[in-house]
Amino acid sequence: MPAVGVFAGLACGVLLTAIGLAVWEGFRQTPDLARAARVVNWLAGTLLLAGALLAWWGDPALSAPASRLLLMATCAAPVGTHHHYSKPWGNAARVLPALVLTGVALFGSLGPASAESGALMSLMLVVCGGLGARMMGEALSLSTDAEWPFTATYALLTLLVGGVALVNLWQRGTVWSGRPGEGGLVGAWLAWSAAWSSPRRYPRLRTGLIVIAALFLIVTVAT
Amino acid sequence: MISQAPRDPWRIIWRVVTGDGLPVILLLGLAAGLTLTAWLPQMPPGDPIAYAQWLSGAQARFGEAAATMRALGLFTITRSLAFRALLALLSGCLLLRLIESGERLRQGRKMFKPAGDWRALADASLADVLDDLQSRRYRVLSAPPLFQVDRWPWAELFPLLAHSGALLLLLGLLITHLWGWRVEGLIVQSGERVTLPDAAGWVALSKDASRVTHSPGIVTYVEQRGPGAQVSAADADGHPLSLQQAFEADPVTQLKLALTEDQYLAIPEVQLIVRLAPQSDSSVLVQVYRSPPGRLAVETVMEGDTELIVDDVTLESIAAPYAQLTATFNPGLWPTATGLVFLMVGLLGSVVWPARRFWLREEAGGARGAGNLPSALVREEA
Repeated sequence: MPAVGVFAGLACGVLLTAIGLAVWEGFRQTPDLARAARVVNWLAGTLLLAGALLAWWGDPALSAPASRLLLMATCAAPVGTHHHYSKPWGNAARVLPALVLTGVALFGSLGPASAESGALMSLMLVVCGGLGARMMGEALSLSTDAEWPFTATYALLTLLVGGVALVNLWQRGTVWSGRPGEGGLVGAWLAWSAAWSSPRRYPRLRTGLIVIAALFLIVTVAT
Repeated sequence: MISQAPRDPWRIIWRVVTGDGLPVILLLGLAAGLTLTAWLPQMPPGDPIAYAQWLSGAQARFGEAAATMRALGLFTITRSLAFRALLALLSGCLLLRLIESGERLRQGRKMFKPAGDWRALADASLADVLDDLQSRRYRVLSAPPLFQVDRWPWAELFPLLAHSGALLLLLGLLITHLWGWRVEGLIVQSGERVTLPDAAGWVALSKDASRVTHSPGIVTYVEQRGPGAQVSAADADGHPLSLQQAFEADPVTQLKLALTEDQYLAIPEVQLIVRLAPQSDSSVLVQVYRSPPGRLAVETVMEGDTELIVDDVTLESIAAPYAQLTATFNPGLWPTATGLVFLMVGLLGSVVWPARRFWLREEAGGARGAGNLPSALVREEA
């Protein structure tokens, strides 16, 4: 759908601007720059949301990887929050996952569409992946005060994996249905469980584990 | 010279096993293995047809590297010794953590010594703070002038539930692996009852093909449904003619065919060949050829019961739809299901209501707190 491409392209450009502003603000902190960065983040989020809604309209089952990536980028965009970090790249790191996801959706060659899971399941998985990407941005910026994306991702992923396993047990008598992608989903959940169990007194180790877990999840959801 | 106290190796092992590091490593190892299974097609156990399909697919996809990957065990990840060793280690680790969680729940009844630095609380009286915390379902223990605030017992109960759930789940999976079985690709036609291999049970399909019944203890899942036919032929005098599906097959007067793909049968006495081809709209294309010369004599599309007359031969076809089933016997079903529910409730409870303990006391300059204080309580340092 060409309109989706237009919105994704515009969002990509605005996200790049947001990163530039964030880096600039990191070196020279002024209220005007912070305000501009907040406005640009809002604009990027709005463009992404418009593109994602259009993509979802055209592909309700989210079978095309590009649609999934765009919806994930929308969830990952750090709209409405802006912090003052001690590191100059703090705010830039928070925007990075959304930019990468939008860029891959726009320019990447992602293979054929798949329609293995239902529309609701696909949507929940994509929201999960988007929240995971958002948490990756927070972790990369070494922020310690934004825990909700982590908690929300892990809770949603636990519900998804547990729900799928219980439905399989009820319908088929086994935890595994043998559908492709099931192993990846459980793998992503185990990786988030590892990040959840990691000791909070080692923030860098925790950051590394969150990035690994988020990558597991994003790759599983996108492919 | 400073003398060093002898280090107790058991204590070190206990600390490693009940610490946070080992489960993280084990979970990451298992996560990597399972994620690889989503990328690399895994070798199907047992079924030779599925194995042949997998082998040709793997060779087409990976070429010469397939043999090396196979030798490295990349196509049998979840059945590999390393994966099972990780699961066994995780089980042991979970058991010890379960014991530790139980002990923590038991010890949580009493007050602990304050830990951490004392910090000034935000402007509010201690009585108001305690009232507010109690209304938010915190437990308050008092030994004036000290108060301990925590989330006992639920915050300690949820990890216990999660650990016991994970252990039950692993136990259920082990029982399934040891004593369970699964039959895939079982084809049953309407009104038919099929005995499972080794007389392990039976599966039947109702006459209208809408309902599957089975022997107790097994679970059946319909993978696919499709058309089928019960075919018979008679000559002009009404005498039944013999039918053959293959040259070496015994002639019969009635054939029941599940139309999973095109099916052929011969009527040797009148030299006719019949082709039955399933169509996308669940109807069946019937073509009758003369043999020789292989010329098409009649062609029709049938839905339901059909009678077809070719020369003096009457071909009768009665609809007999089929269901392709998977039958599973899982003696570990209940431990697995209970474990899954416990694990989900335990994890979600831990996420929503994590363990937190802190201490409060009234001092001359105002209330002060120590431990894992909620950020709303602490006064911002200037």
